[in-house]
Amino acid sequence: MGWSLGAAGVAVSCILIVCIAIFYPTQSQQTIYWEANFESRASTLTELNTEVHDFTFEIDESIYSIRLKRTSDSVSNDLLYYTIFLNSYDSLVKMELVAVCNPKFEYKDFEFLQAPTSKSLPLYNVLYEFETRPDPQFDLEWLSCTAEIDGKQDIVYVRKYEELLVQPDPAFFDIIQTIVKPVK
Amino acid sequence: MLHFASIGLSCLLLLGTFAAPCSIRTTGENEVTYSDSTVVYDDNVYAPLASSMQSFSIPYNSREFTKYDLAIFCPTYTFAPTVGSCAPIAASNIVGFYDRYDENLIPNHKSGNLVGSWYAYAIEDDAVESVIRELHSLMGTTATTGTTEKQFLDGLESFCKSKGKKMETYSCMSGKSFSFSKARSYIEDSNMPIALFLSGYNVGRRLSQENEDLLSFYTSDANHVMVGFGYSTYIYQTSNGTLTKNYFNVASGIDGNSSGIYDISLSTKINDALAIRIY
Repeated sequence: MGWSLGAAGVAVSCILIVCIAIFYPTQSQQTIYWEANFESRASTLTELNTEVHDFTFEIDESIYSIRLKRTSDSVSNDLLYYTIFLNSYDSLVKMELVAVCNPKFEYKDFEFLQAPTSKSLPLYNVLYEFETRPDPQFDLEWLSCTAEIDGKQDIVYVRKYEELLVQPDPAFFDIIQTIVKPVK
Repeated sequence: MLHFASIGLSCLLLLGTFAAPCSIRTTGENEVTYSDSTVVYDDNVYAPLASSMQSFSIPYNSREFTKYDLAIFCPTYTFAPTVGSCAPIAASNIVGFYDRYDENLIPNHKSGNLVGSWYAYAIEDDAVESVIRELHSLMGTTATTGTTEKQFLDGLESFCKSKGKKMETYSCMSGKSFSFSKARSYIEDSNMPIALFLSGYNVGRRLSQENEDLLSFYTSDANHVMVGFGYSTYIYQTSNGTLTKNYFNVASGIDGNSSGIYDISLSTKINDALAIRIY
């Protein structure tokens, strides 16, 4: 009786240790932030570049109108992500970037619709999916793109990129590298 | 003579059905409050509502589509003074649309510019944020209660009056049911955006492949107001027959999903839809 109780105790302890070993690392890496507690405010390029670790954002304000928002968790005051809205003044390009700079936060509002293509650019590797889309109403052709650039701590999501195609080759890769640069 | 009279009467009735501005704004006992919150505040108890991403594909043999947008880039403002600000944000997107025709609606803000013969609206700036705050105050929006449709309309009308403007609304409903054809007509024929009052909503995107459309939607059970600035109708010939999908091209008011397509038959109920004219 004593032996079986002891064995049961050892077994329970082993199960507990295994469970802690399996679940503890993942639990500790991700924090649950409730969307209801998210708060956003206007921000600046300087503030963005201070808080992002792996990238520097360089935006030529003579080419783009720019709007930045900083989203944080109102309970913990943890920074979650930045949203960067850009419109080129010639209206040929419009994009929405999200820079997630909190490794404990899982950004859920981004996904590829198919297995993304990987491309090595001179500055970094980018995962992307493209679509060129004729627009019969405006008699134009659009390039739509979503993309992901992974840093060591930060992730930049190109949530939305729309380019009015006025030349056969899209300018996306050139444009994204002029805006998002790795920290030297 | 009688024949002409009856034609005239029919025309008047038709006009009455399709084009008469709405004037009745009552507050019903069970009036919906729109707050686009994933949290319901009920006696200060948090009750999270469901939101998720849904992805699927539509394989087809052939496909036809028609679309119409009021501009190549429409207003997509998202600034939220408090939680539950979807109604003032939606109203600001409508004000932003009409700012093209009267730049005094949003002072110190350039509404956009022409690209060839088409119009592209500018992005949100400080002046737009100021208008959203003003609409938020005029509508009496709060983080805990959101905004009713009546508050939305009264607040927007007060804003228009303060700018020396008038506002008219036109119903896109047939009885209690939503009429997509009416909404299409108001967008395409009358150059009016549509305010959508929803219980449950979605915002998504489509990626066209050869003989297959891939779709992904953010869906939420929340009550939400957003604005239709265009529409698209896809008619698919599939192995199971014909499939018709109707979408609005919307300004959702949501950070990170500020524009996209809204599937009128996916996890959503259209409580009301109003074409809005500011003049």
